[in-house]
Amino acid sequence: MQFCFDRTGFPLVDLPDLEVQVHLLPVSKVQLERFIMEPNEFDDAWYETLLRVHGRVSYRRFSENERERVFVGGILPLEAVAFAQWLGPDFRLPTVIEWRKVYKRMEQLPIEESTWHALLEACSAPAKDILEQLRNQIRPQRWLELSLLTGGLVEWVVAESATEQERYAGLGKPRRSFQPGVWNPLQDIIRPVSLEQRVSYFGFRLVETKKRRNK
Amino acid sequence: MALGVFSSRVRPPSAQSVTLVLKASQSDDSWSRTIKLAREILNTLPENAVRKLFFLGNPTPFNPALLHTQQTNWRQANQHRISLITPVFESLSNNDETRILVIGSGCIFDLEDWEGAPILTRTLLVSLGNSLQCGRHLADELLNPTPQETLRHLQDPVQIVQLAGGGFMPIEWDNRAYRLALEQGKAVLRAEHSQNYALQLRFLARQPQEVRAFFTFASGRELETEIEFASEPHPLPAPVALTEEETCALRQAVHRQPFVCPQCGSQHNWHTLRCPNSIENYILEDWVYPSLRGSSENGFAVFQLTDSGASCRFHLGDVLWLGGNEVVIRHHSQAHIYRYDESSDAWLLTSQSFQLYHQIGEDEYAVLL
Repeated sequence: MQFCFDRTGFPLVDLPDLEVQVHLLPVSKVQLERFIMEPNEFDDAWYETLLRVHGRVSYRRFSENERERVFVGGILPLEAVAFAQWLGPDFRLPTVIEWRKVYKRMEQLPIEESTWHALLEACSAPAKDILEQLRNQIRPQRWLELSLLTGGLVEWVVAESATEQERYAGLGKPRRSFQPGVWNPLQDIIRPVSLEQRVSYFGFRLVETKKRRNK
Repeated sequence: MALGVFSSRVRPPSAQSVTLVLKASQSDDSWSRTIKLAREILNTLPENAVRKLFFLGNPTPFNPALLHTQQTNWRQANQHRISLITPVFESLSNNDETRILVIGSGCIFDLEDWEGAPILTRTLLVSLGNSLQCGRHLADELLNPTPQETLRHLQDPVQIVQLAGGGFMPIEWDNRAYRLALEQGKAVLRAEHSQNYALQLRFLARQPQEVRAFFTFASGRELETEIEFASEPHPLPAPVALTEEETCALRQAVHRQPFVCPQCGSQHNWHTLRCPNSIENYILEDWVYPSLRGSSENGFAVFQLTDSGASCRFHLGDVLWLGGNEVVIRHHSQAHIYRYDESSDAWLLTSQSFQLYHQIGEDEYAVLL
């Protein structure tokens, strides 16, 4: 299992039989803040709105009960796309198929200590803080649980659809204590009422197409 | 485990040096009040006291001297910046000990990421409306203060400086405001209510990074920092060469033999340090060794006696290192020997007595002045 890193120092997983690399974790607030601290249309009023929907907790210290708040929630899909563009031209939201492929692959991958330590050494300090706390809290055996593809948020994905309104949907299986919906991410696609309405449990992770790196 | 010998300097945080951080992303009314207070503070503090000016969310420093002419332009350039403190804190050097004054109204979103960090203990928040803290108390905050109140908090002077840590024992230091205390076997070098807290010292310690400096400010605020290591060792006082008569006297005395006093020419017992005939002979200072004239009466003298002659080095302080993990500590007119005990990380009083002409190593002899 190999990793590369985005401009915020957060890891992307490089799975051999996929065309994309994928963020190991949902996008966190500390990553988003790197984006919005640059002059752009996202200002205090926008961030206050986002935090009212899904509050913030410091990545340096978060308890098991509040860990979803480390990550971006309540974001709209086009805002996630704007963040992706800032990360780089080859970053985008995953498709439903890509997301599910990653899920199935991660299900099979145990966490090996050597890979874990190499990952911690290479990632940024905030990423390391988050990963270490997650591992202590979840005690996962496989990368699937650590990645929060299960037990995290519902994540924006690109759905094949004829209408713009149905272009984006959600996949994921949050903890019951966070969002008591019963969804199977390999079968169910979650469609919000409106793409303009913020939903606290909607976050995202991104993929990066491999072409650019392999050029 | 033998303790190491290290040199260091301590410079208390300057009360005069300030980094100003303004929140530009707020209502026009709050901005007007922010800029008014900022300018009053800039006008009141000594010239160059405010070294840097930042805006929340922006890591680029601005020149505070230009605030009065550039305030409108700078506000426009920064008002869409998000209220994050991380870009500002990250662009300040770790060694920058200035006070940080943040003025504005409304939440700084990422303040909690710095909880417990030394830089946040040096930060004073001034809110002109809504709190700058998002519901949790993380830093000192004044609500709608006057410029005078702000300045009083800002210039919060140091009142106590303490140095302590694993195996710590100062053996030379240049500021007499600092006094040694042994607290349950732990050595603490402390200065209180002094005009000057700057210090150079040599000390024993297990590891130099275990020794920390603790500052207490007038407001009660506390700051713990690493101490700064000096690449050059703290210089020892230059030795003074003894005269031939003094050398003869010393050679006799260290062997506990009577000697001819270089001061009055009479014979004295070996343990005589002050000449009993000095008053009769109108000698102002009564050391039997005239080379000790002008020395401090609050320290030690260490004589070095070799085949070719003798010299004396004054040691101005309450502690004299005897080598290894042993020191002698002066308590008024008496001195006691302490040894470092690794298992309890404490300096323990030994049953050994500190004697006149106490031998240190092969050819050195110490006396308490």
